[in-house]
Amino acid sequence: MTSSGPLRTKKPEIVRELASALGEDRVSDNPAVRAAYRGSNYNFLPPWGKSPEIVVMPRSVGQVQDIVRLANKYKLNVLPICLGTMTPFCEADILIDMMGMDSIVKIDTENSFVVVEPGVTYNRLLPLLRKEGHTISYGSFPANFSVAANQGVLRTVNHNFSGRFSDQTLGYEIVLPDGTLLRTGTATFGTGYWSPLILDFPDVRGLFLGSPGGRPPLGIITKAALRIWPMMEARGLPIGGFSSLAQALKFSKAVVKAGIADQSMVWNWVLMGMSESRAKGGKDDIDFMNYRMTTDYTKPYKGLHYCYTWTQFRGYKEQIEVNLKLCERIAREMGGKILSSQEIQDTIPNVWKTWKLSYEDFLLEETKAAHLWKVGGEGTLEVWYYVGWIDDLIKLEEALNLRLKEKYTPIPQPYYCRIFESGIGGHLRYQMSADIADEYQAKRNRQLREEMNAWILEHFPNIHAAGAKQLNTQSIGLGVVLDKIRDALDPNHIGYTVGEKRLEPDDEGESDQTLKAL
Amino acid sequence: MKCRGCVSSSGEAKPVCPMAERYRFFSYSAGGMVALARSIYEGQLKWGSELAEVIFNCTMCRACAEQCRNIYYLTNEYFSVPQLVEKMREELVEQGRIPPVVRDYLKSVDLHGNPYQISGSKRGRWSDEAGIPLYSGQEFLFYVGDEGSFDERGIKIAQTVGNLLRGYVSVGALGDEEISDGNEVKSLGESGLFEVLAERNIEKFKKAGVRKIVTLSPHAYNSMKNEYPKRGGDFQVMHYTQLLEKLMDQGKLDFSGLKTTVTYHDPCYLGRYNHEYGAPRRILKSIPNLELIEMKSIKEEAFCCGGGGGNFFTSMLGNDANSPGRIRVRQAYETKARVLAVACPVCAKMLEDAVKDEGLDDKLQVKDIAEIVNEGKKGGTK
Repeated sequence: MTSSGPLRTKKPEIVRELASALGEDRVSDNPAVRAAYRGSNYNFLPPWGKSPEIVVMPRSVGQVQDIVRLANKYKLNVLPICLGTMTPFCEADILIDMMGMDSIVKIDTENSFVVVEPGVTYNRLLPLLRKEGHTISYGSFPANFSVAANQGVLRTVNHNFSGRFSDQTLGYEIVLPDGTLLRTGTATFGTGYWSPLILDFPDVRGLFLGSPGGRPPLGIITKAALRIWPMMEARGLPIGGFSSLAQALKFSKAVVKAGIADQSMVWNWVLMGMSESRAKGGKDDIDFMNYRMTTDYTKPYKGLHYCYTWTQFRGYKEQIEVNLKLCERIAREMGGKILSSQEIQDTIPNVWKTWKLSYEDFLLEETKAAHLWKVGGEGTLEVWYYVGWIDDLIKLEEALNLRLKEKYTPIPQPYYCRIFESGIGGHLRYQMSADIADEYQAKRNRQLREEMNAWILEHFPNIHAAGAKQLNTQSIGLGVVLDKIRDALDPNHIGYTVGEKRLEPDDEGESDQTLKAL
Repeated sequence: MKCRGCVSSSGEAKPVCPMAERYRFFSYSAGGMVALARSIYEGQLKWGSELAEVIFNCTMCRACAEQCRNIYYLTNEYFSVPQLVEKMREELVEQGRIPPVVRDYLKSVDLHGNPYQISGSKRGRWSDEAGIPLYSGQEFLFYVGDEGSFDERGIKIAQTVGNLLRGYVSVGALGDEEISDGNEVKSLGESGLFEVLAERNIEKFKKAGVRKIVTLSPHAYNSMKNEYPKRGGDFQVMHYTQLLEKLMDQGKLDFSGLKTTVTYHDPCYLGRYNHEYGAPRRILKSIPNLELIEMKSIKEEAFCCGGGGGNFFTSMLGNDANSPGRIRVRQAYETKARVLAVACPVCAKMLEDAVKDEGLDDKLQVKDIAEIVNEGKKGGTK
């Protein structure tokens, strides 16, 4: 890919204009500075794209407005990123590294919200919240990821307070592609009260989260108002053991529907075994891998249950005691049990330690999650993500395991599930254990995922397979509407997304003929 | 390349990478260094002066290696990030594509045996003035290095350490015969010149019958302890704080007391490179009435003063508010200690300048441990 027209002829001028708006230290067209942004800064997985043409790091909302106005003037693509935005390739003309805007604007424990800029990380915010007896929802992300960016991932399901991450947001301040400043919800009237629910206007948060439908972002988030949660005087984290996914998911569904738990999730034995050996330092990786190579998904590793549930709740002491008893009863009724402390210590002590730190003590930064993510000997994982009713997910798991075994690989694969939408829905997330840091395996897995998605769309009409290629063509109107909204908000199409053709040069100094000659 | 980059590291939010704090762009970080290596490997980035502008900002402090113990491979070779940076610098040096300040540094070491562009014949003035005898078979060779020989602040520290040691053990210096230890030359990627310096030093030490070396600088300590043995230079090498600790344990060094509050800055080449965190702290804690208050980033997590990797001479990281020295001084000032103790002439100079830049001259004083010991020992110079 080559530079688009204006950058070919006017790059020094554009860089000068940006430097005059942002300061010279926050603008770079040095190839070595740009090259580090070729890959996703979420991880280092290949394949990487080309470098962006210019990298900028604004300090303020005004500077973000200046950048997009300049991008419109020269018809250049812009792509905003943060640590953890999972942007896989950064080939845009102007890459906006938002980590330079890192103010914690407000912490309001009385009204349970914070307002942060995109550069604020979990490991900066969480200790401050804990001092005030509060926490914020987070996943198993490394602690130095951007809070606002990760809460803004539309498709991601929240890890420790049921629901989607986007449900944790109260509002956003956004710079639109033409430079207009927008505040969503009640904050649009300039109030300090941030709420998504207003009578006068619709709730438009979702339009600006993630990349809707694989399309470019419709705006650049410059502030986010997010829910925070009191840690309360007591917390519980019972671990359930079950002999099938059906039992485990029904347990999780029941405790969430009954309002007992903030969240409940399910792990299969493969994920549990891998995680335990990793948390232990990878010493059992070979034994565990050998076992997986010689068994099938129906036969758990020694001492492990087929599925585990992790159920998390906070409250008053008396409430927690009752909840623990209720969990024991519901687990029994579903055919499983809540594990004793002894069984946890005998079988999964290291995983337990990590999850206790994370979900009972809310000490994400102590979990060293980043290191746990690396699978000993297997590299990083590929994620397949399916959303639907609980009963459909149970059927899907069995069919998918069988299909994988018969058609692709006999090695049992790790997965986990979460419950959301107050217990009526959930997701099944396979974490295919090929090393996708290896380009060959990455390609093979992408291909496999696409085949699986096509098969699921055909056989499980109620399951939503995230990222499936067919989704755009199957959209009933929404894809068309999103395109129209984009045309209205971003007439020059300066928003950039992966795989999109770059802007064509117009009358900015070069003819198509000249470009072809080049 | 298997790597999730330093962006994936967990833990409390503290400054880790000096150049990342200074520049903020991802490129100037451990993860950025890996990304650049990968880009070169994939043919997406060329060796050149623009790359050198980024690469030579690394202070080689190893803080990244402590934060993330993941390793990275390139063509089946395993590297830590600082090793990767050194390899890339070697290639840039080989191709002659280095920043002018680095070129000048290396040229001066090659010509004069020191980076100060001063004739080697003036190297021994510090010892002449202090009355430190030339080495002639004493128990210890006191090796002071470039900063101890030529830098005004370094000379004062060298003289203090020399005189202090002289009271307890027999020491001698090489005077004009001393040449650079080569630690910075190596970290700047000039491996050929380092080989020459190491060989010359080893030969000189052997010829003089040296068996034990006590160094002023942790930088020299690192190269003589870890690199010289690979080249036949098997000497017993100590940093001077280690020798002071030994003298203290033997009951030879005794303290009357010093009423002050002190915070201690771990030098990268004493701490992270050689895991010596205890000796300086034990010395300070042994001085009656001296209160040691730790900064928030200490030992393995200590934030670099910004002087490593040749930056002491090249000043590529500058002295603005986000420069490493000033960040470290602000951390020291937060402890409310009156004295910022150091055990390295490079750190001393970097942090003293940073104290001035922060406008804290009357609130925080940078002192070498030897200077504090001198004030606190029996019969000392309070």
